[in-house]
Amino acid sequence: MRQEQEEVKPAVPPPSTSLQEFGQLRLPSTESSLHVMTIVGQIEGHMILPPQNKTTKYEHIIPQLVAIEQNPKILGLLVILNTVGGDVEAGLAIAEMLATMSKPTVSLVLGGGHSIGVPIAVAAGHSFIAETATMTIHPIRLTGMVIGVPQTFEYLEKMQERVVRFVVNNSGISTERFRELMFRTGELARDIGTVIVGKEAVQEGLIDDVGGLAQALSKLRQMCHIGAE
Amino acid sequence: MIYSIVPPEVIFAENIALKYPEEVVYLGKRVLVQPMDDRTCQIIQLLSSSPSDFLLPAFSPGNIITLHT
Repeated sequence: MRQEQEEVKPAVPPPSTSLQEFGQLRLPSTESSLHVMTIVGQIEGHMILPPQNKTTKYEHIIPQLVAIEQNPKILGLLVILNTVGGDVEAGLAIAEMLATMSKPTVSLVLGGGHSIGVPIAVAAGHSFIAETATMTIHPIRLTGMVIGVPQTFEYLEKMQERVVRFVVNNSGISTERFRELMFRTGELARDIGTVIVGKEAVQEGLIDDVGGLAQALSKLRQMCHIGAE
Repeated sequence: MIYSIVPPEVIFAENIALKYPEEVVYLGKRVLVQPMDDRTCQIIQLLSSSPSDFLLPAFSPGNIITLHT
């Protein structure tokens, strides 16, 4: 009897496992066969950026890409980009993973897909850019302590070459043209490079089509051989 | 190495007023939250690639949630 009473009134209330106590119901979720990944703000890689930066972290994106590739219920992936750039190696890692996925991928550049956002945009199987979206192509800058020796410039050139090679291999632009856009003077106020808007990206061969959400999703469905959901 | 259109002095500006958001598991899904006090925090972002998850009102950004320890 005494033992029963103790069981009825536990000293510590058990932790709740559902939303019931907040007066909300759990909605039945319909699983989508197409998954979406948003890459927004700064792409954060080897360094944690100060909190005023909105970031997308590679430790979130990379395992998610692996999970999407392995999950048989997921047929395709839509990548939505609105990024100002970020870590070179994190960006290239995400771009390489996207490019080597076996499942169909479509990217959509909305707002901006600048700097290291460019290789991610071109990495998808098919890429779209919104009519008002922009992409800035500019050289990589050096930050922090710079030692003015030839090795510094060689290293910078090597880093830049990785980006250029990836973009050229995964889009319709030539190395010469991409470099020309990257080193153009007189267009950006405080830098060298080029800003390309919407259909210019398509004309340059960087992006496949101008379009929005409906076009991107219908292309992805077509690539996955599925009808309208 | 950063390759961004945002100038490094803006990216690396020191701002002590802002706190880093924290990552927690809430109702089985990973969310990015801004802690408010010991037990409550505000949802900033749902970390999921499943579009249907974003229709669940419990995970709306701005929601204040109570964490059970």
